Amino acid sequence: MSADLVRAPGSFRQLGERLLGESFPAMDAEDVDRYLDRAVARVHEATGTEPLQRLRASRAEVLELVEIGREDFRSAHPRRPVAVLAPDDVIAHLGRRPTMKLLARKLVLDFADALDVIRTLDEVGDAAAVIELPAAGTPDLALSACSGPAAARDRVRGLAAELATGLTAARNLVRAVDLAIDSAIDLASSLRDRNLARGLADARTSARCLDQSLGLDHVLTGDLSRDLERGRPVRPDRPAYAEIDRAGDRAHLRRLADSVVVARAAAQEVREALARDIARMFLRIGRLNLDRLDDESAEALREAVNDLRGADLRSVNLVGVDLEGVRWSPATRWPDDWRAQIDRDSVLIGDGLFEVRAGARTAGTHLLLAPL
Amino acid sequence: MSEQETASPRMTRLRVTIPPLKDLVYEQCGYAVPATFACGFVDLHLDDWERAERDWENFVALVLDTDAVHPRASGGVAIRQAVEAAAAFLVDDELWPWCPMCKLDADDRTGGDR
Ligand SMILES: [Zn+2]
Repeated sequence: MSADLVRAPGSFRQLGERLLGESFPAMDAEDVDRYLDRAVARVHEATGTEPLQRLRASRAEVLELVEIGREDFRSAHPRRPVAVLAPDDVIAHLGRRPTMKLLARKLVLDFADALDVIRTLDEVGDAAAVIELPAAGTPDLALSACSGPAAARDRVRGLAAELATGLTAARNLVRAVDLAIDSAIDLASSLRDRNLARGLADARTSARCLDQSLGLDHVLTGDLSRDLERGRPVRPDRPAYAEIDRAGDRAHLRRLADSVVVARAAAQEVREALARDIARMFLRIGRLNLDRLDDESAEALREAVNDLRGADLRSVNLVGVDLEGVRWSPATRWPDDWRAQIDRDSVLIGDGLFEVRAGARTAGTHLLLAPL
Repeated sequence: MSEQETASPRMTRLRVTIPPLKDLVYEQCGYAVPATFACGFVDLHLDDWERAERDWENFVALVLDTDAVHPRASGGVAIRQAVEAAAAFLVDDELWPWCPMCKLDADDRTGGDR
């Protein structure tokens, strides 16, 4: 107890020296020293602690020494050029290292989801751009119907019918947009990005307001058509006609287009952050060319991380790992204590091919492990 | 790894809070660790993920008891300094990746990656 109160830290440098000596017995004392100088400077850089007090030098001097040491080291050991990876290289790497797939899985799936969201929003944006709100105002129609010559009535009737058709078409498109936004929201929920969620929610609200407002106009325009049809007196000041709110429709449509743009920008940010994270994962084998991470390669990556046929996963800790969509074969080696649950959660989808069902998740969330 | 090294009282108490490697993969993980670190370390131990995790924890636990951690730091701050120091110690321009806990031969590793 009392021993714990007074902390007598050992020397980081000595620890490092011992570990380097054990791991690299052939390394000579000078190289060990240089390594430790570099390491201590890095530690200082990272933590702000000063395990370098023993060097009795200012930080700047130490860094200078380290830099000199690094230059010496570099001239003695020229660096290997860094490989530039295409997504295919990453997939090939994953193929050789199936346990890496479980580590890369969440990132890759999120990335593919983000691309799906962007694609959906592009479609929504395109659809929103072609929604054409019929231009003629219904109150104007009502006015000309009652004040114009009798011969103009037929023409006005035709216009009212056109307006009604235009409104129906606009409404159908808006509903398609609403559905697309819904599916984007489902996809985005796994990305848990607040800006994206807000942008999508705004877009959905605007789409629904537009739908309602178009619906109301449609009903009122229908009333006008029927009045004209049946030869009832049409009075432009009739309150119902005055409520036909074309300006409101336009405002809703503008808001919809704006919030789709906002959501798309947020989705693009998510995509870029995830692409950087994926690139970081594979830095050890080379630098991933992010420009090549397009829709097609995301799909291929998604398939790759889901394909665990024949993989030996006995050493993997599956606690908290989401396995939904993973495909495996009888040759796949699962950790013994997970075997029964995986069997239970999977369905046979082909010749000797199993897939873990939607909603299946390895249970027993471990306090230490955030879901992968 | 000898028995007394892993049995420090400070460590047994704090061990539960050492972040697992998979938490260090993300850029925004809350620890300033070099980009190549977590994946490189897991990759290095590839056929034995649990071992990588255990070696990592044991190594952080050793660093925790050195002057790489500020003498007055405790709890999460001490853990963070130890985590960052441990990763910074390993990720060296010339030797990375290596694991001080399993003493793998550097040449075997780089050869096996092709
Ligand atoms: Zn190791």
